[in-house]
Amino acid sequence: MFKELVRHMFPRAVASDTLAITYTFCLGGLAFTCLMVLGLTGLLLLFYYSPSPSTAHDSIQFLESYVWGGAFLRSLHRLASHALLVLLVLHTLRVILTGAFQAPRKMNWVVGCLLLVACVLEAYTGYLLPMDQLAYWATLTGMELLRSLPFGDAARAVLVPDGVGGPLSLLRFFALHVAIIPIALLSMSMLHFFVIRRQKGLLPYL
Amino acid sequence: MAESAQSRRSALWTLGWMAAGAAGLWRFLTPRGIAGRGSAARAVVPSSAIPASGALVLPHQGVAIAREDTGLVALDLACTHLGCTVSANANGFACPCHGSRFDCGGKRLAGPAADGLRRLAVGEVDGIVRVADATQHVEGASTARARDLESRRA
Repeated sequence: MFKELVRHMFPRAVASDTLAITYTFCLGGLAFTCLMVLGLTGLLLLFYYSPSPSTAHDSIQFLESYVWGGAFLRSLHRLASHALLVLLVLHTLRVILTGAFQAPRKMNWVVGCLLLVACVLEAYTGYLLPMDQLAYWATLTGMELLRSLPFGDAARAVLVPDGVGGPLSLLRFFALHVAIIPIALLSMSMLHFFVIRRQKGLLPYL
Repeated sequence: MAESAQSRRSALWTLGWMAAGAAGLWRFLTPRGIAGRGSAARAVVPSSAIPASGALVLPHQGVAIAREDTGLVALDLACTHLGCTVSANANGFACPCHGSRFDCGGKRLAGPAADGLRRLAVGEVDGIVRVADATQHVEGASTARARDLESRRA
């Protein structure tokens, strides 16, 4: 049964012109690889991170100073997050420049844009978690920027009810970063890939 | 959209349930009684703590209190650009985030901030100075007063 399932995931037919690397440069596939690296390293970071303003920074100091591979894991998580955003922008550019947003791929263009927004939000919520100077001031300015949008004050009240750096706010960023946005990201990615597969496109790994 | 599978009535019910869900979620996510919110005073200091020239800068409370000719002035240290706490120097205040500069009276000298630092309501009773949390915008009367002070200094 497992074999059947695996076989089911592979395409029955692939358009031959999609086989050339220059067709997509595999930018989406590389981005998804980054997402998987982020998921794995993030899961491991969960074993040491403490989402409270008084202990968050210390927990990361502990991870970096005393845990075997801790500093490497955290660096990898951060590096992969930067790479993910760069790759997504390149992927978006490729789609725009090759006109791949047109019919019949309109739906995947919309899903892709939502994925880009979700990834930016995921990166932004992760930025506060170390609770160092950079994290604090960057999140503070981001939250001020949010106020310039329509319903920005309401969004701010939900995201940082006790101000940037408060215990509730940190916990909310943590919940968004490790549960809510990742679930949305994964499900939208699966939809993204399903549509590609249905349109006889080539997916990485499968 | 020629034919819809959904009747008008069921669509309205769906909308109603979604609105009720959103309202409930909003109530759930914006709790009352959060510590620090709606507190009466931003800072309470004895009058003697405020120097005759220069200002008492309280970075953690985000306020600078100075004695001017017309009385006490409290400046909100949150930069009017994106809210970073400005740091005091000999010429006034500078924002470490994006480089906005303000003079000692909080007037804008250089951007990206578009406005001067906000002034907070401040009062002195029996040798105790209280700075209110509510903001008083620099525009209008206070700007005119700041300009007035500026010209008197010159």
